[in-house]
Amino acid sequence: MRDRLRSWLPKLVLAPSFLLILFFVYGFIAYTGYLSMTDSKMLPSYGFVGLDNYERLWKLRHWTGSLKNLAIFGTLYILVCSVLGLFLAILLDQKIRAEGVLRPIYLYPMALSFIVTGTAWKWFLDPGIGLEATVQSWGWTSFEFDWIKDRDMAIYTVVIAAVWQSSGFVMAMFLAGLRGVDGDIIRAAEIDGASKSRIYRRIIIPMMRPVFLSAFVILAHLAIKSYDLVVALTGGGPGKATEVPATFMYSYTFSRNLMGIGAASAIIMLMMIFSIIVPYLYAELHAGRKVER
Amino acid sequence: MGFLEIERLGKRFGSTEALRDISLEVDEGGFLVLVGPSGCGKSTLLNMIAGFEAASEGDIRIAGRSVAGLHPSKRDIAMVFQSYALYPNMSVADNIGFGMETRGVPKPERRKKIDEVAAILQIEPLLKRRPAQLSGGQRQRVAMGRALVRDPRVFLFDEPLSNLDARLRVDMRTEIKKLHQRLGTTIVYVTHDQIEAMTLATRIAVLRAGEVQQIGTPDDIYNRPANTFVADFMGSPAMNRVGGRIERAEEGLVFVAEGMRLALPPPGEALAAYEGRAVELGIRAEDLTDRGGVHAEAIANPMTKSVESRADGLAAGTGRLVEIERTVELVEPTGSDTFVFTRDGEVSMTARVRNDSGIVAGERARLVLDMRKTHFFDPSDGRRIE
Amino acid sequence: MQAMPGERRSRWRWLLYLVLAVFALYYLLPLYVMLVNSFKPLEEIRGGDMLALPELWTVAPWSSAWSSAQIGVEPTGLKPYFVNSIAMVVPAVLLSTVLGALNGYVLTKWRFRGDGVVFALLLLSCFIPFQIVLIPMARVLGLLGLAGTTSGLVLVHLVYGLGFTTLFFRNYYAAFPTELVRAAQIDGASFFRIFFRILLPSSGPIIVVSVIWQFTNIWNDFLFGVSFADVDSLPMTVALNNLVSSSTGVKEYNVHFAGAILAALPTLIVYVVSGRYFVRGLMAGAVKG
Repeated sequence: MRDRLRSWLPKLVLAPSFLLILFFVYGFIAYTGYLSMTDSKMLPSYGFVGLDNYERLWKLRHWTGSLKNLAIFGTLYILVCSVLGLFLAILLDQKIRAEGVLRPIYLYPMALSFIVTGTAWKWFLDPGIGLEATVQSWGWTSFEFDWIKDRDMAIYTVVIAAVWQSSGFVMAMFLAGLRGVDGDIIRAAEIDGASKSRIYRRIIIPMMRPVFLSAFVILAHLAIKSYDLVVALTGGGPGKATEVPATFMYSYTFSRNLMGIGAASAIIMLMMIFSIIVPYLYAELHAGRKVER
Repeated sequence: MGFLEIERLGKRFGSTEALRDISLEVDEGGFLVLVGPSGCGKSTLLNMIAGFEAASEGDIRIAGRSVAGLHPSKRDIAMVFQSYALYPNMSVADNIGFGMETRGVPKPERRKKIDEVAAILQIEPLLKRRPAQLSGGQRQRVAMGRALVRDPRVFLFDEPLSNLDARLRVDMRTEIKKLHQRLGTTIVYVTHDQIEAMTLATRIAVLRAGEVQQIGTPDDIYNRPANTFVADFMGSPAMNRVGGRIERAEEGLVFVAEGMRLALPPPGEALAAYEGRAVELGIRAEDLTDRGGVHAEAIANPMTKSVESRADGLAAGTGRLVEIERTVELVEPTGSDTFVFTRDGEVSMTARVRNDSGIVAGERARLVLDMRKTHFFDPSDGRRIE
Repeated sequence: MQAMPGERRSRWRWLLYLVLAVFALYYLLPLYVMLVNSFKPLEEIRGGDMLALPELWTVAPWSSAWSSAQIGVEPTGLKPYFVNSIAMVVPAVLLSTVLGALNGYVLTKWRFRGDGVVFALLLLSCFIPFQIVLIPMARVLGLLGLAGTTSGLVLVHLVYGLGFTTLFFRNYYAAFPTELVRAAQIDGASFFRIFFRILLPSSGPIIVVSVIWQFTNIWNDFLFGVSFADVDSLPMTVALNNLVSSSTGVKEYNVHFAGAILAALPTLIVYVVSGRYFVRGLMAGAVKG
């Protein structure tokens, strides 16, 4: 049955996608990598400078600042989303009659563009017309909430908006994980006299390790890629207070005409993501293979 | 350890009635098996004894005390689940000890009890392992260990052997029986496998569509089935059932059906009431066998007058063993026996014959029927005619 | 978790509902704020209370956002950019879904040596930071003559969506019994016939997932839009950002809010109509890797 046509038709069908990816993804990565080692400024040029751009990159306070912001933002984003998501998932797991209404409410922010989210929160957090103004108009005139304009606190506003957007999704993932636990195990624990909180702590949550890992990977990846939200919410400001690697790369490549450095920053971003994703995917695919065979 | 009483128990889910008017009793140390096809309510009943479902009507009492409204952990029960339900992130030892840990039993005492139970079930070498590293049979033992360590009044088993392969199932069945004999615990066991029911139980309750069909010892259930459902469900292959009529002939009452006419041995008062009416004859395959398996003189020819049987323990009077002739459709050797499937018109019958009976498919065969083992059922409601 | 027999509607239950309601408010608040303030005249917004209902209801901000607001240099409102987005999204979603389905089919039912590598590379492409391809893509689009065109954007979104659609279909088809394919082969069915007559008809759920995911991501994309689009092809999200971030003139917040909601409407509607599948699809891809 395996005549020659049959054996190369599937490959032929797969080929366009494969070639597209090979070129547009890996080819481009290589190209950008190469560019990062050239003296490109406004346009690509091919004077090889080795790791020069990288050295200059790490000397830039702008860059190290953006990395610091990413660290703060990323850590808080992942932590708060996970805790909040788990909390809401456990609550919703208690046979809530209104679950059909509540779950879509918690989840809908995911459907929005980061630009829309950024816009909404930008005004919400704006001292002139947002929360501060509103609370003051209610009578509490000394209320202050101008984090978005504050150099030190602005990055936390990005956290607030990002958590708002993504925590519902994390909740949905965890809820599915909670529900995936075999009901008999919980009944066995009830016979053993365990209280609900003990059942969650000792049995259900430890069983959810794979889901936690997936959530971490997805959130980490979103955090590193974050561009739209920062642009819409703060534009990187005030000053450079909320600059993250993604916005850094864009501004250095297209506005400041220092393409070589921009490319280098993109490569660093790539390495950060790959250092998390590649081991994760490898482990998943490997386990999947074992099961299949 | 106490005994279990279930009194007029009923359960409704919305408008569906899952259980209706169930009354059962288990003596201390007894082994009650709840058996029936899928959906008959046996698992629901077990869940209600355990406390995972509340009763719509009726009461459950353990050792004389009603358990209605009590949390499962307060009913002094233990349960072995079909899927074993072991805690995946804990070692075998921790699995067994979890209940004690929750109650605050100090570690050395826990250790001692875990070791005791592990010794009984022969799982000592597995104590440090995780469930994922165990085989099906090993997991089953750990599940039993977790139940044993609670030292409860009643053990509940929910189809514990369904997930094991055939060989292992037979081994574990024997183990459970031995354990019961050794420890003398009161057990309620749910299964859909009638062989398990027959081998393990001291009492069997056959359920169907939420109602108890019959409660009795395995012998009662097998040899004196209350109705056609019980007769069909227990025993493999299923009991032969032949529709026919009771008529009065010169030799007394006879059962008449396609290609057979059987003189009914007296006393047949119960059947006399059915004179001229339709009844169903029931006979198990092992009670319908080939001629070579019985003493020739003991056989009466059904077409002529009955013959006095020899006085060697056979029932005095007429026709304990009766010969009939059937058309053989299929012959199926199973190794230890051979099953013969016959078909005459609408009537099919299965006989269990010796391996060298010489019966061949497509031919007529003479089979011998043991009249003492026949049952008669009223076709309108399936009940057995006593 | 089962409610135990005898557990009554205790005080804890009311607390539970209260907490859940508070969080519902948290999630709904920004949307409410945008909605409510999009119907107010500008003076009311500056007045201070953003939570208050409009004293004077007006739909002027909406009509402005749609057809007359200043976006960049043109006072055209968001309408033309809405059209641009649609022209970009529809082909990209269709193409990436079709190719993803075929890829998933090949990768699960027509195994060959090295197919694991191909899948791994496709999968990995889902996670790259898009910044890494901006520079070369700009050049290539220029070389192809697609710079600043909608077709160029379609190509971009197609390529970077392939990884996801392939992942969805591959996971879905992996669970599809291979025996059915073998049986069809015995019957002499060809590669394409098997796909169209056996797999595709059963693919409803995953097609929905793939379409929703792609639609949402492509519609909401900003980075590619701002990097590769020209006035003629500028998508909605970029236009919205231009609208709200313009630093000149008076900030017409109410128009901004109306515009933001307009931009969010398509994906919100898609989500409301088929949200269950949305989440299920994400789980399938994420949780199972």
